[in-house]
Amino acid sequence: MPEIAIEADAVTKIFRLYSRGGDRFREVLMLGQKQLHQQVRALHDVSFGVQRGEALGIIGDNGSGKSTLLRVLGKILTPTTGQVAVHFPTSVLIELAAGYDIQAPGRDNIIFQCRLLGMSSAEIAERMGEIIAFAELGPAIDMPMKTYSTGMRLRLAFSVALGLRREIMLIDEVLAVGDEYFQSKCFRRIKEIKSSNTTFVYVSHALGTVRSVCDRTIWLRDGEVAAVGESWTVIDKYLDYVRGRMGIMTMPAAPLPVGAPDDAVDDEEDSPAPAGIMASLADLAPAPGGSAAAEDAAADDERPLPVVAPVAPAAMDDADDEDDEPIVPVDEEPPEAPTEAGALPTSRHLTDHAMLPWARQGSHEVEVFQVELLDGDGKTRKKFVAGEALTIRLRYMAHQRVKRPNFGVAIYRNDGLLVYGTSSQKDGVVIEAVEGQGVVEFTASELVLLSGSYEVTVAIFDEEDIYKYDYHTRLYPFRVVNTSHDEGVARVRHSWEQREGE
Amino acid sequence: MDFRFKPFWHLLWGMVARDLRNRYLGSFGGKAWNVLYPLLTITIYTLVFSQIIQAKFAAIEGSLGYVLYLCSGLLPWLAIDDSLKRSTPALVNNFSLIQNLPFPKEILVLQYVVSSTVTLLISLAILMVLQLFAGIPPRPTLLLLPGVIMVQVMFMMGPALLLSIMHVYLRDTEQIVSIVLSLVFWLIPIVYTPGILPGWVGRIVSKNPLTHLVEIYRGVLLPYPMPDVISFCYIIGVSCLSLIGGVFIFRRLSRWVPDDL
Repeated sequence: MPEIAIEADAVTKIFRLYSRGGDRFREVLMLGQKQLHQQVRALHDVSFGVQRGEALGIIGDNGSGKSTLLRVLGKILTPTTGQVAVHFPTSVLIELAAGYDIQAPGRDNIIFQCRLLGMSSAEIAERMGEIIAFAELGPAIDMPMKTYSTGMRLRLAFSVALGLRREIMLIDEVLAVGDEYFQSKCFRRIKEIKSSNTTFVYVSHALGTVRSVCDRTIWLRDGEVAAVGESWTVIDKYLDYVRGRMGIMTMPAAPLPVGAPDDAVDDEEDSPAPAGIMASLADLAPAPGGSAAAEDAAADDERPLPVVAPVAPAAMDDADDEDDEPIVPVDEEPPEAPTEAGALPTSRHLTDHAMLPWARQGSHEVEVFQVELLDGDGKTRKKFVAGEALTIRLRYMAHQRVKRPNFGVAIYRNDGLLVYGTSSQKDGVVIEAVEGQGVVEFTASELVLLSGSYEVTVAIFDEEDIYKYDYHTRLYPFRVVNTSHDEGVARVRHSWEQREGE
Repeated sequence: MDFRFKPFWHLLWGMVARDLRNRYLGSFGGKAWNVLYPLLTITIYTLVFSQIIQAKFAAIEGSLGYVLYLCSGLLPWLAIDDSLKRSTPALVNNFSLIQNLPFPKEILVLQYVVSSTVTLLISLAILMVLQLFAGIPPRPTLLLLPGVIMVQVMFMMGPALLLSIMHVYLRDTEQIVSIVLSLVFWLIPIVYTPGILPGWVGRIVSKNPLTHLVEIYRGVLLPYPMPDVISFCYIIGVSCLSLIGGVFIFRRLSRWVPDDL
């Protein structure tokens, strides 16, 4: 039976914020007659448990309460309400500067830091050599710490934290300062220690690291648990949310469609968007379902459709759904049919989120106006099983004759790893010229990707691969589920064989 | 607070060592100032009161009589003065430690109490050398000295702990402490003898626990009448109360300190 290492039960942390130094005392003098402080809620009703030997990641935006939570777990802060039970001795590494005497040499600081963490002199003497060896600071270990760079300080602090054998380790952010070599060394060590039944709680913005180190992850949003569960699921949800917000950030430049605002406000309740940030979005843009008014308004106008609702935040809610609906909520009418007499399809026919300015670049002499992900039967899907066939279909429109266009496709994992990228030219496929509209298909007969969330980038370059006609940055998400238990980024074709007596 | 305090004794010694090392850091004298400072203080008093103002002092004979009387009260007082002044801002000044590491916060305050006591030990050693010069050999009552110093440490801990918490919430505390201490100095018979003050001031002075402490120091160190048992009980009682009350209240309040720094 797994042992519980940490339990948090309905933890809420409220800070009192006083605008002036004397207010705190003034408030005491007034015997509670008047409140001079503002309450800031850093954590609200946070509950979770961590099993012994498990690694828990904590992710979230700046100011979402991650470090506060870590401090509560480390018994540095006392929760305002709720309970925290930590069942084993704990070591904490939150800030690098804490407790270092920059005038003293590194060696003395290691000793002092070990003492701060509650080590006895005998324990320090025993671990000292190991800590110094791990830090790999060379002769600098006997120089005053004021001569150290931030990275060197990190090496020292982290070596102490890892050298201290405690059943639970709480680690904040700090690792990000280290160089590549030291970071990977630390993670190797963390994995080593983890296998000896040590429990980790790790706060970070480095999602890739969280994914690879942590078994489970908590996403904190405004002090509340937005999601908790398997790391890759939670990170996916968080990334969807981040993308949604990036869309909002870039949108206000676009004017509101005429006549749309009233409808938009009404749509607010029906929209599938999560509360909070999406509520403000609904003020700006009609929800995907109710975009007819906006469409009409835009059709009367010379400008391209000015406001769109990103699908990403909505996708957050149904990130786990099982359906096979098309990933691109395109208009019902086929794009081939001109909307008005003689009018060519334009970028307004793209998926809504593809319109986000940050996601699209290029000069658009020829552009991609629709992207579909299809399975072997030609059905649009957003979820594939590892090993299935995948076709990426690009519908393009060349507004003029464009010679030798070069179509590119790239697949990213949602933490930013480029999994595969190629182009028609790189593959030796020559397209002499395009004019008007047409279709380009990229087909992978066997999807070698493993479980995870991926995004497709599509592009059209010129012959020299320099000039961008159109570029859609990671706009088309899909998910892969793996029915077997192999691990990694991609499936390597392989076979096993065993022979005896050789 | 569920700390096992035991492993943190090492931390306390580490902090005291660091404080003694760093207090005069960067100065030419460096660590030597820990000895030089009390030595020079005592030398100056000796010169002033044995050569310049040749005060006749009835209680202790010899030209160094008054100097010995003065220093045996002044040196313990300086330890109290120094430890309270330095421990008051201890929590505020160490906010980065408090907010990032779980350890008993008492230690931040205690280090100054202990470090002042180390200085007191050095000063008392110098005083004893001066005593030999004055022709007064060490007395068997000297065996009581470690106990007396311990009582003083206990006495200092209560106010030191409480003032450090108070300073978190009222940043004027540091100034107030400094003024109150200069007032308290005159309510202890350090420069004057206990009997000379009349009326209500005299009554306050005779009730002041520090008066009893200082008189005990003199009884232990000098050929000076040893205070009675009631005096001992009084100061020991007050010191125990100060220590227990200080630690109790500090533990109750200090867990909210990281929020409010």
